[in-house]
Amino acid sequence: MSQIWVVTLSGTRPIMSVAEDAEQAGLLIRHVLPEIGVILGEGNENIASTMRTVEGVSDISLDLPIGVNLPATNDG
Amino acid sequence: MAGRRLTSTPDDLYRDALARGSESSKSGRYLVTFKLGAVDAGVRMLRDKYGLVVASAGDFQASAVVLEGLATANALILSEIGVVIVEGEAFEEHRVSSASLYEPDSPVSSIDEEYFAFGRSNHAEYLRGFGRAASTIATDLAEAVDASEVLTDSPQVTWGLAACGVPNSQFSGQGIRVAMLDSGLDFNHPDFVGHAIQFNSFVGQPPQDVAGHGTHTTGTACGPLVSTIGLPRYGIAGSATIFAGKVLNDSLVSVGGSILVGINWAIANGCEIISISASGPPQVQPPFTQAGATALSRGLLVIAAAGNQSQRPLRVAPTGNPANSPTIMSVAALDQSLGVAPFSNGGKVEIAAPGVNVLSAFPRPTLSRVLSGTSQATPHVAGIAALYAEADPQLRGTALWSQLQASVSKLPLSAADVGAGLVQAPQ
Repeated sequence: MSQIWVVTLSGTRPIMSVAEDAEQAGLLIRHVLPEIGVILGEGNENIASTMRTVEGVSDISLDLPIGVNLPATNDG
Repeated sequence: MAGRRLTSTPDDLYRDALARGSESSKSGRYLVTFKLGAVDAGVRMLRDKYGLVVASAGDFQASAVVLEGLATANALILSEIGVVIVEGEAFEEHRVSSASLYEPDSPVSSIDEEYFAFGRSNHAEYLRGFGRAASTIATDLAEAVDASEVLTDSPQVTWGLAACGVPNSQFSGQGIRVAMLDSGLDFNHPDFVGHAIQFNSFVGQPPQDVAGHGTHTTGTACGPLVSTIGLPRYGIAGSATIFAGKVLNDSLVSVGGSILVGINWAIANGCEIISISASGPPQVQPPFTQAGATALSRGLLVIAAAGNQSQRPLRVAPTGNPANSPTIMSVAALDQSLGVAPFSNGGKVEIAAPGVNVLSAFPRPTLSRVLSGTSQATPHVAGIAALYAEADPQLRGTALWSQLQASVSKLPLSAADVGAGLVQAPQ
């Protein structure tokens, strides 16, 4: 099943070089965020172990939900 | 797959998503956002390099797109906001999502999947009626606030701004860029008309705020010094430039990736302060830590809500991400007696601010609401950070972080609950 992954880079290589390697590794690139050294991409669960071998990648993790968790006893 | 075409109605798209068996929150179409001023170059690229047939909303009278008029196109450019909607099949067949689109000279800013906008199910829970009292608050803001007192709004100013010493500050955020990463903004709210605002959406929906959360938080951080609709002063950095980045959809839901895209956008646009009134699970996320570190190194400060899952005194929930990253300033919420709010998460907390019964702007026709949450506390800190940033150009990034903590009003509470204390504005 295809999922969205957040790839954090170590900063040791240009982000576009890592993005190209990631794409070759099977990650469908969704966003390259050069200001913060992060790539967002789509791939199956096997992509994580593959991506960890790509030079310049320091972490890969699933994109997690985030939102406004309203106070249980309140409103905002 | 008729549902993924430009001519599809929302019902067509939803039926098609269900038929695909994929995540039904996605329409199957894509949104390509161009950089500012790069619309013409972007359209040329999609046409010449990828062979897309791009129609323009501007070709229709008053930009009111008629679906039947798009039968021969597989992409639609919305020039006013620099976004192209691309049919799903065309997007995939032409491999529009290649890394080359992100080369530095590319006109493309981002590529997003289009999401459905479902109606909010928690609207009634989210809203709260007016609770403002008419009594006045203590006006001698130079003195420490008596924590046994219940602070209320006065006709002149909200209790939160008064508690933070905002009315006596000579600063208003002039020349400072504040990124509000939230659910967008009601751009035509009377209190924001004429305000310097840049905007972008990272969730596949228009940046206009529907949920109201973004308008409320932006109102606190950057609302006017004098309300045009007769409200007490509720805005802190009324002269700051607002960068309204929509990272929460109209149901107030997002994913970490959208927040990261928003942070990237704010950094690229030279914002000094980024305010995030959203939170996720308590696992520290490396990309948020890196984003916060990058921001600090570039002279930006990322400020985020600790989260609202606590049920004090029975249970104190840990700070959620992104606020739990060590490079991001975490904000707790205080009640009107300057005690920690019962819902406010704890553990990794740097500073506290008013977060209960906070009056601020709300999308038309309502115009104002009273809301509670660490979401409301966070923009108090962001707005006051903008005042410090205006007061001293050296106060950026880590220096600004330190200044905010050094100038608090101390509280007789645990640092795990309120951090250094109650944020205070520069005088």
